[in-house]
Amino acid sequence: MKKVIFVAFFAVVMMFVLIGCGNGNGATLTIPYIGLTDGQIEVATDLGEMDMPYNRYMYGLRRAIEAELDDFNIEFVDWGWAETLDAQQRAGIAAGTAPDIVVGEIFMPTYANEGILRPLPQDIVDTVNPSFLIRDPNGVPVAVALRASVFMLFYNRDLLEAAGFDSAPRYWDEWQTMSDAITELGNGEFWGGGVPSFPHAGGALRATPFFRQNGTDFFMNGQVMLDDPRLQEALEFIRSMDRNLPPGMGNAADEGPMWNAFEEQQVIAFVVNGTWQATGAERNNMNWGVAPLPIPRGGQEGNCLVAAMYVAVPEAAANPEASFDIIRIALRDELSSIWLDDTVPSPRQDIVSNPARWSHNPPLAQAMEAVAGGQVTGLASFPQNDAQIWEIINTRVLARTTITNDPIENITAEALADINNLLS
Amino acid sequence: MHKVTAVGLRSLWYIVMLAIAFIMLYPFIFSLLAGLNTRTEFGHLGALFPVPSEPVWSNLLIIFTPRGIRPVLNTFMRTAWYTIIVCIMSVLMGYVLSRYNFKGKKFFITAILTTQVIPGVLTLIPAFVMMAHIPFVGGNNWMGMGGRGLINNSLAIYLPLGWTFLIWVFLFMQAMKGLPRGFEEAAEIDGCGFWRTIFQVIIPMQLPIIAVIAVNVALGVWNDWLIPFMYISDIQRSTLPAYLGQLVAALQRFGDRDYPRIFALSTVAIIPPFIIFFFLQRYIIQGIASAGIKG
Amino acid sequence: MSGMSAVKLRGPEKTITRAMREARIAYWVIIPFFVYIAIWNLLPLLLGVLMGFTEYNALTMPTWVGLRNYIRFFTQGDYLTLLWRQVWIGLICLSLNTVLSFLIALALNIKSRAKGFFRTSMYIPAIAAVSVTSAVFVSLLDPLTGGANRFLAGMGIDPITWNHSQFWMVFWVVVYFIWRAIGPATIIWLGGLQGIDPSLYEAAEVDGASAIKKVRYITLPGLRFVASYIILTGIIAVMQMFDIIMFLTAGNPFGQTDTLMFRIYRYGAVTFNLGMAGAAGTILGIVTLLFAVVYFKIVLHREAREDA
Repeated sequence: MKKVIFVAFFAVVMMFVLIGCGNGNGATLTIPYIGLTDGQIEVATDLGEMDMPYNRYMYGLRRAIEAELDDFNIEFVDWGWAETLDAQQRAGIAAGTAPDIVVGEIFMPTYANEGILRPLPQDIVDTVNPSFLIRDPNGVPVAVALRASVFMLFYNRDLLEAAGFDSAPRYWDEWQTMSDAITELGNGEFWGGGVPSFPHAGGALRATPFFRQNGTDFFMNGQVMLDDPRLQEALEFIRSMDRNLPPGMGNAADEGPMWNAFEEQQVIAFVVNGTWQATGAERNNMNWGVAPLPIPRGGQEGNCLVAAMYVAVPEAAANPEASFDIIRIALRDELSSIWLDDTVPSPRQDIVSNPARWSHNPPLAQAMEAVAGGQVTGLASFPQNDAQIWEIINTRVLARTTITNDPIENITAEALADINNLLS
Repeated sequence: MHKVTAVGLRSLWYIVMLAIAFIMLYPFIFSLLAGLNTRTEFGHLGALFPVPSEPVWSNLLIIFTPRGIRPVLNTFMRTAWYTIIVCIMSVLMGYVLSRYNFKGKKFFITAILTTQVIPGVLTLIPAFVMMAHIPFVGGNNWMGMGGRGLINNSLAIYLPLGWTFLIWVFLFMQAMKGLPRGFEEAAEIDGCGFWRTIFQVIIPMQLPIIAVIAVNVALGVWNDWLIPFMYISDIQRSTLPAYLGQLVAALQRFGDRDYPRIFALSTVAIIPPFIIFFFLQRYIIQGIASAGIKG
Repeated sequence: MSGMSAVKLRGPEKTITRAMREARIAYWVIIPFFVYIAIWNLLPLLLGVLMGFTEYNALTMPTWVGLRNYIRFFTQGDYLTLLWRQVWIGLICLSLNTVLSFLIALALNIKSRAKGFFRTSMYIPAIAAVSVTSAVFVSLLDPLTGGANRFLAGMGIDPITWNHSQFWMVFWVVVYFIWRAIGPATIIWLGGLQGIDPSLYEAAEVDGASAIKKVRYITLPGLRFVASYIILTGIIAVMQMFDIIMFLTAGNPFGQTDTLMFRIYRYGAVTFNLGMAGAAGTILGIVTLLFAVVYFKIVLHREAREDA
């Protein structure tokens, strides 16, 4: 019996060793890939999911890359998004095994500032609207967004009407009144909704427009603005709006329940989300509306670039020409225009400058004008220890604002001290 | 009267123990059920027992696609590799340290025992940095010494040998104490050298303890998600538990969540340890108990 | 290779004594393993201490900053809070686990046909990796869609927003830790219990000792060694626990469950503040060793006194 176990064991080992040695050679391109995994594509039974514009884009891009760069061995790696992706890419760069393309959103400006990206070829720069580019400190474009959007206020007309409102709020106080009234009417069945404060970038991105409306931001002109009274006023607003969300929804790590509650269960009247929410609302046949984000009385329009899927080629990439070819494929009209179906602006200059292609969709048109106009920027970035500082802001400023009743001044003062340590 | 309380105690014992056993097994039941849900259904169920209205087997089938199977194969290979290496190391070192007399023997035994109390925290990050710069020449420049690094290289999950494995050397030494020297002396008279003694006397005589070592090491290595998690980000070169580590860590972060996929992968990742455990349970229990009593 | 030398040694060179031959084989066997293990363990240990004296972000060369990181650890930021949190969360985990596993071992140390099944079920959580079972807890604890709150709602209890409360997040970390660690501890206790000479109990029975007295004067002293093993390995384990924290809470709510080891991990592999990671790691390692040594001294001291 024991002999049999050992022989079987040895046989299994040999089998795996043989399989393990069977790796192909040839130049390999490593590309972080945000989308369905291979396995999911191969066994996909849920065709509805494959039909969503996002998946159509990623799948189409992938097939095009595989078809056209067939002399390369292409590794699509699933490195997640945000912090996970950043850590994996940095580890690769630090170890000298950089991926051939780096992807990302909030940390891409940091990469650009550190000078670890190659300048984009002129033809790519010419294809896209300048608002979709990130430049390095010398003004050379180094990264391009395959898509980008802005935030808008989406609302459920049925819930608004139930509470006796017929139009979207324009000012913070109007929004507060409406949301409070809906929450009160709902009495635990439905809610008004507010500004989320998720303890990760999803919270910071959605809070930033409300600071900018008040003429401030987390970081402006080399200064951390946490002690700015205008910022604290916006935090107070976020806190008082959080009462109109079911407990734990606004500051959970998982955003999913909020979007489900809005579009599927339809129990939240207002959400702050990117323009793609229009597609989701449409898919669920809801009676929805969309408006610009409410502003404070005497405030200004303010927004933040969101879902910007930046791609760039790191200096350390082994096959930069092939990498740029991949970016060219990703920017082709037939692929890039898929974003329009998701109510998300495409970066192609010929699409941006041709209103006939997007004016039929009002949220898309508003987003297109806001993004292409160039006045909307992404999340602020800090000169050093960027990731650590955002962690403090996300958890110990934003989430703490809505989780606790600690005075806002204390929250910001404590965080500011730690952030200044990290900046010094 | 006395009998009644005894029966009452016995049933209470059963009830309490059954409750504890249920708590212990519950997360596995949950994981199995949740892995068979669709994403939409799981998001809405939120139940303690997420029984799917219609099981989605494709969640489990992902593993059996050409790229899906790769991390599973890697985990098998890694487990097999370390099991063999540690068994060889334990037998050879354990035999020599328990039977031979030589200068420095005390030092080696003390060193083996000392390493068991050194906290791994001291080496976790520096080992990562070191890994990124091996072999210190050529390639990128670190402290002027260079090196391409083994981060994201398949070797990274096969090369490191932690000193926690040395506990099995000690266990083998203890087991040698129970083996009379007569067998080896007889073999020596027959003209057996070192290797023949090992293969013809020690290994056959000590198979039970080798099985204890092999089973425990195999289980430990299969479940070691941390080293591949630290060193490898490419799933195709990583192991299944490490891949799950990435997915679960991302649950606390920005982005989309696919719980059923995680649970389906978890279910697959538990199957081999379950099989080992159910068939070779006594070896595992013996390993844990003897590490505690003799260590 | 050793086989060849053994043959040669067996040959005409009678001057080589048996002891010399054994020593040669022993060195040939032991030294390669020791050197290899030292490369992978001792070298990083030294590297970590060195790293603590530098500023290093993995993108540019490290620069020597002397004791700055160590001074910062004790004067700036929240490192001491994190260290303390690591200690107290660890202490709760370890002490509850030690006590509960002992009670269960006592309960299982009887004759019953179901004993094997219960022992097996106790051990099963330990055979699955942390990364494999954490998602269950994360999903159950979702404040809105999680099973735990749905269950409470079904019982007519108000849902609890777990992720808002340091207490509840620590509570679940402890529950998860014990769920995983109780099986091996129970089995070690059981091994110890079965190692106690049954004649001692019989003698006590004759003397008419109560059950509590038997536990106090026979069971506990007989388990002294097993207990110190469980506690010593436990101290080392909880002082470097970050996996459960990372998977279950990620330090939330607002950093209230962040621990030093989790911070070290993030500095080392996520945000690349490697100098501080080295310094904090060295300090945490020394503190852990101190705890282990102090515990050992107390136990040894007490034993010496009891033996005297």
